[in-house]
Amino acid sequence: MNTSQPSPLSLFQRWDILRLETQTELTKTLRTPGFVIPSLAFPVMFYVFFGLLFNAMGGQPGHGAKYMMATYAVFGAIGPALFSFGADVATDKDKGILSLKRVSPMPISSYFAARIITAMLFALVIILSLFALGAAFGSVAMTRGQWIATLIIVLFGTLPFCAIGLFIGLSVSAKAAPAVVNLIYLPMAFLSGLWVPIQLFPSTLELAANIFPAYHLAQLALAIQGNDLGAPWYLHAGALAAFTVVFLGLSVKRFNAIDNRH
Amino acid sequence: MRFSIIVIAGLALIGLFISVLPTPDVTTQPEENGEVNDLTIPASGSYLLTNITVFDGQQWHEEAGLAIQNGRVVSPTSLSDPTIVDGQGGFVIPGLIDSHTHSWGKALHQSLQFGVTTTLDMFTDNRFFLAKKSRRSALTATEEADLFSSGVLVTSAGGHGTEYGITIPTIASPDQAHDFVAERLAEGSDYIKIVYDAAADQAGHKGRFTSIDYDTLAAVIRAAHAQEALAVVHVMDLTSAEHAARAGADGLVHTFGGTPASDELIALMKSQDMFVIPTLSILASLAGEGRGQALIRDSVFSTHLAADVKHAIANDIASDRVAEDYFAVAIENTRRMQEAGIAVLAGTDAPNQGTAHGVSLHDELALLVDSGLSPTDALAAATYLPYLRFAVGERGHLRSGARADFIVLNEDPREDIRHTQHIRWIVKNGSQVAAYFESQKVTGETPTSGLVSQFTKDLTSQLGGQFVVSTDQMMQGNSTAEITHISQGCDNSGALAVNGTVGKQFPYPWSGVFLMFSESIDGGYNLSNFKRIVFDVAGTDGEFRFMVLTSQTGRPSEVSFSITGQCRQVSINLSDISGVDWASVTGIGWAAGKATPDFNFTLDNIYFE
Repeated sequence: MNTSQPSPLSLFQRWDILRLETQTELTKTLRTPGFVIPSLAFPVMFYVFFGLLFNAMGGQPGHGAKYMMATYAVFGAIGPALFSFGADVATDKDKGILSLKRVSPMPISSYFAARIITAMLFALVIILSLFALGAAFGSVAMTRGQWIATLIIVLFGTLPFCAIGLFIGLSVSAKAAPAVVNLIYLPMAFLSGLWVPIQLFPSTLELAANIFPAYHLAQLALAIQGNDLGAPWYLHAGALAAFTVVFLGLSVKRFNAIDNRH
Repeated sequence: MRFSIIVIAGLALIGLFISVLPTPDVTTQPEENGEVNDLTIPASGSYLLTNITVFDGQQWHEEAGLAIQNGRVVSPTSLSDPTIVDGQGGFVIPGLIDSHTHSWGKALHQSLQFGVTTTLDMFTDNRFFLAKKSRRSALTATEEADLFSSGVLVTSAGGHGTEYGITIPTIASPDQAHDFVAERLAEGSDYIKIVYDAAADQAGHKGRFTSIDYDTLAAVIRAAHAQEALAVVHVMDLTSAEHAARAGADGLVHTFGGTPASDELIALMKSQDMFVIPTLSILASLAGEGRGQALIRDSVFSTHLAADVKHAIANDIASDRVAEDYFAVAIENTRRMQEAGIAVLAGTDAPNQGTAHGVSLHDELALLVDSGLSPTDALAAATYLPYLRFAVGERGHLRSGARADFIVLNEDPREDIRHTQHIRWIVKNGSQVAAYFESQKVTGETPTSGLVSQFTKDLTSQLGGQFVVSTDQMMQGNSTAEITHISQGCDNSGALAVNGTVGKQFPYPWSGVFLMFSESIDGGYNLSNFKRIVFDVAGTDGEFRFMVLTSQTGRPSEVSFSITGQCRQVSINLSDISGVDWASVTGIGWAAGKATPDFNFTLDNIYFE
């Protein structure tokens, strides 16, 4: 058979493809209010209930609100990462869109990069809404460096969850994917101390939290305001990196095994 | 192109958003004080402080100077070629006098850090008083306020004052009055303080204390006057106050809430030229006014209050036995006495719950202004009036001959009495002393590992220090305890066993084991790197207390935990124990209280993590 190899893409072309892919991905996501509204509203609503209303009851002003702002930012940010990859990739895979993208001249990395950017944009909106709420209603005050560091850490801390979501999306069917994601997302959020401070847990549960990447990300975010449990930051960062590498590796294996004969 | 603009605009928006987020308030206090602290007092101790506004106790002097020599204020002309010290436009007031305190431990040091250079104690342990009394005549540099005291107070057996665990003599009848007063004065008391409650012998009396009767009260006051001593009376209600006035007391050391003062009382006090020390600070605590929390959260002191001070003022007594308008009535009574021309003196009753030495006197001044005193009157209440009423030597004013005890303020207290909190420098005996915001933070030795002990072979603590028995016997209680090493602990290796009884003799009994890190109270361990303490424990079912002693606090901070017959691990977050400066912990302990009169428990595998 005679196949003509496309000429290698220039950097500009790659950038342009990424931009287009991101735009379409974003448009597609925004046209799914069933995804947009819950993923934006849930963390904000939870934060109002648990972070702000509880905070109003006694204690140091702003202390509980500050703590919860970090953990709910993590909770909010990892949601879009898990769903955008977990559920959407599963759909694309089942519908054969993924296979189509693979055979198209577009570099497949653009497909993933566009998804990462979309997930991060969602995370950004959630984090900034929580910042605004905490500052306006929870008397949260942090130094400028702390605000920025929290934003950046949580934003880039979504990467391991993209990898986990990707693995789920490639592993299960489109029908099963949202259920599987929820099954992992919600218990992990609770057991990592994103909803209630981890200090309130029995020490065995506190120890068990180490198996969850969300715990490590939350500890990193809390370390910025000095409310972490005290383990060194590089352990948490290392754990997050390890999760990313492991799930990326697993995903590559899955990806290569996808049946492309749809 | 358009895409790039969107990205850039988005980033700019985020930047803008971040820049409007709130950052912690940095109060101006450190800039105003600590960092530009350029008061340089010459070694000779002889100088002229210029460029200041001075309140001498009675009057204000604009653009004045203050000449100091050998720890006293002298006439400017008596200094030949004086060293000029620039006061930088500050406002100088005499060192403050707190006319109602109870002193022990670090009280005098703490007082001085807030510019309270003299305290009039209204009952303390004579051992403390007599040790400090001799020092007050010195004019050399010191880190402690001067102490005057009534020494032991005059009360009945079982009366208020007998509940603190130190055995004190009591009085039963009028015929003992002369000898009783003579004994107090022989011991060194500067004045006589009497506790009196007119309602104590009446049916339906709710209080737990007895009281001397009216005849004894009158006899003691007469005896004090016969021996040329001042007699002041502790009263907490209108009837008792009327009795005290009728018996000829020189002053009342509290005002009262509950009932408005009667016109007869006010007329009697005025005609006998009595004074009153309202101690609104403690009455506010009793009524749960939250003054301490306000000082912690929203005052010039906020950023620099030590953990122990915060601990002391964080929670009011907030008695549920006082009426809703209790405190409002107390303020009103103070106002009416002031308007009638009765001398009102500033006193706090520190360190009773909700108040602390030094810091609370500044709040008392604010409360006096709330009661209708002008800011200058309030200053006089803490300076010149105590000077006039008590034999405190040349303290409380800044005219020639006065002791050179004064505060330089950044702001004019005539504008707002709370400006007394804007302390720039504190000077005692002519020398500058460290203010509360400058005091060195004590940081103890930092242990490398958190392991305290597994008690494998004996009771050695790997962290350092020594396990010792601690009971209320040191407060004349009758609790007992003994500690032993046993070979069969929780994990079948060695453990620490504690056996003891909790007696009833001391009102707040305790008995248990303490790990004391250092012999001296000033040392201690820096445990601030740790988040919690974990230990295995089994023993008598019930609530026990884990206690922490720091070099700053006399009273231990504590949290309770429960013990069961089953061996189990207890984990206590250090952040749950309030009022502890973890940088200088002198000891930790496990103790039983009233609920477990006979107890035993074994401790094992103690570590900080």
